[in-house]
Amino acid sequence: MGDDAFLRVSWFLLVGFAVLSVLCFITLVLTRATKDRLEKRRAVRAATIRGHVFDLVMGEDAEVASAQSWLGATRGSRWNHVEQQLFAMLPKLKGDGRAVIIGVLLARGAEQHAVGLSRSRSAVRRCRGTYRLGMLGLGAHFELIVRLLADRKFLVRRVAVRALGNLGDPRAVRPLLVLGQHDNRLARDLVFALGRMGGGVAPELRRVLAEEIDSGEHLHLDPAAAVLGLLGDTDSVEILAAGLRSENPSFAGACAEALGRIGSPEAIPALVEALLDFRPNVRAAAAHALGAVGSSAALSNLIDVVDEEEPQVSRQAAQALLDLGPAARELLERSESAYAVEALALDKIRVGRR
Amino acid sequence: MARIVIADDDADIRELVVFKLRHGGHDVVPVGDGAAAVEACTTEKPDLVILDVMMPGMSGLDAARALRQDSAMDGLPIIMLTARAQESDIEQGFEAGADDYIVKPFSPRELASRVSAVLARTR
Repeated sequence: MGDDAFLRVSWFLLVGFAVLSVLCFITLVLTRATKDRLEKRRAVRAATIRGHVFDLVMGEDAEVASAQSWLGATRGSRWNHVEQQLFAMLPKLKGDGRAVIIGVLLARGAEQHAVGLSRSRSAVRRCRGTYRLGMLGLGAHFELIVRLLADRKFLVRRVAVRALGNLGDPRAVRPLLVLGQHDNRLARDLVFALGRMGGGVAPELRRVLAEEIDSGEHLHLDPAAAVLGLLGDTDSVEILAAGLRSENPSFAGACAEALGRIGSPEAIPALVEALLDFRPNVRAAAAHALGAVGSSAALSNLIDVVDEEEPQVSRQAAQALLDLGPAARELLERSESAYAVEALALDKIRVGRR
Repeated sequence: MARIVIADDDADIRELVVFKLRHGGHDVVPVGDGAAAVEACTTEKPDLVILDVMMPGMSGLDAARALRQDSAMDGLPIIMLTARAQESDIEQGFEAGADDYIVKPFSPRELASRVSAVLARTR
């Protein structure tokens, strides 16, 4: 190949590369501009929808009527966005605003849509449908959500647990505890769901606990005890005190913790007895609970365990005494236990920081 | 009309509160965390501050304590707006210096009434 031919090929390659570079640059600029425009359009649409949703929830009568008519006229993908925003708003609201949103959603067939989604083959859609059924709070779908507790996908089971919490039907107690038996990853969700049901769930929790304690505790009962404690259910002191004697150390500890939260002096004799339990976690939980109950009736029992063999028990007993006021503190100051000295020193640091 | 600072890391809640309070004729300054709330209180000199408890960085409780320790903020009413509903949480809120405590989920109408009541009490 001569010099001319070589120059021609080089020239073509150079021009070709330059043209390609320009084309790439133009494509990138156009892509970016289109993306920006779409994002802006999306943001404007979201803001418009949000404005109408806020008017619907918090506006004056005329604004509510206008928002209802605007939302009622939306169709297709725009309605999907509206629906998403309305469902996203539901867990944050209570009162009239929440009722209005649910009314709009039900009028637009959200219930049937949610049922359809919860039966979808896609796990994501099943999650969405289950979440929506829970948010709408329709008791008619209780059985459907309970069946979803057995879904093969963990996320669907988790959403179903929370949805049952929103429904607030005490019949969910046993299915939820049965699920907790098989899947301890859901322990926190169970406590959340049972707690969300409120005080109305306490009688059923007490009934299930009594049945299980009588029949040898086949279920994982820690969440039930925890929720009774969180609810501050004074009627459950007796059954939780019985739970302190459970063979399952985790459940016995959960009962002690719950009794501490309830704070009823009626629990003191059972908690004092639990200070002598052979399992350290139960003794520690009992010591902590006695501090939380806040009665001076157990001072001598607590001072006895400040110097016991298990550090976790001694530390809890020392902390409990610190929580029990000046007389208990005096006992602690007279103690020669290293744990008493440690608790007093830590308390001094804490006070200094405040 | 009052100037109100609202601190919440949840943009939806922030917007809800801003919408409701502006509707009621208040001047609202929204921020996303406790440190920004303390900063906004210093610069904006609000009549009231609404604080979420669980926020990234400085929590609402720490922000409330910081405001109570600042003599320039003497008498500034604080309302806690939080999902933490345990008795001990509420106790902690009041110990940190809150004047009122509202639990999420909340009713915007109730929030507006509580804001008016706290403002009427402290002005």
